[in-house]
Amino acid sequence: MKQDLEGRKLFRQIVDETPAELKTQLRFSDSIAEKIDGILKERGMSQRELAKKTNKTEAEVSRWLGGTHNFTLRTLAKISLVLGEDLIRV
Amino acid sequence: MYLCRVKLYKLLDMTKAKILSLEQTENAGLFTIIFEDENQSEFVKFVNKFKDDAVRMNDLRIILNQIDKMLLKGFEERRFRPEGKMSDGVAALPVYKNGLRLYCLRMSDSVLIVGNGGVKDTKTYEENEDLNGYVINL
Repeated sequence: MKQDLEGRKLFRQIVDETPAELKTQLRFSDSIAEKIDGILKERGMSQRELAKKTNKTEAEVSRWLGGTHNFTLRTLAKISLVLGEDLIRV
Repeated sequence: MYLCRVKLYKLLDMTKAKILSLEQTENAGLFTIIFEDENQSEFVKFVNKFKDDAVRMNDLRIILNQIDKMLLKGFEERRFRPEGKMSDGVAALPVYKNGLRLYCLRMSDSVLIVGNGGVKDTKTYEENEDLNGYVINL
């Protein structure tokens, strides 16, 4: 199979030149999304159930799990209370 | 894997496009498409459209960094927003309400084909002629 060398170069260049601040923000978002996803799977809880319990739409829960969401502390507190587990520790 | 191949053959046959490899890891493979008689892949066209756009650069970085992470962890379904008919397997990155969208074919947790994309400034992608075209192309 042929390779897209131009595409690969552009892809690597943009990823490598991403500011550290944004990379850190994305790492936090992804870790939180993974944690929520893990808890849901462990408990056999659906995204729909989480949406219902947090009074949010399913689309909103889907965004949380996408891995790039910029969570507010209020949202994190709400999800933590519903899941009975702190999503972040300071 | 079989279904994945069938989809791939269908795509090649119907659109007169070729699949190009972008990145490969032990866990995942990233591909793009190039249409007959064109000299740039859909992914290159997408990146070139926004790489010098001060407003959209951040969105572009978020999408590409997310793909980079998925190359290690796999293309999990929860990270994509389904678009088009469910049976087509077309999805978009990221899952935001608005902003820049990259349209892809998520074949499995380990195979992703990225196409073109743009700014979703209408309620649905169908209302935007360009975005609708990208989804149809995929």
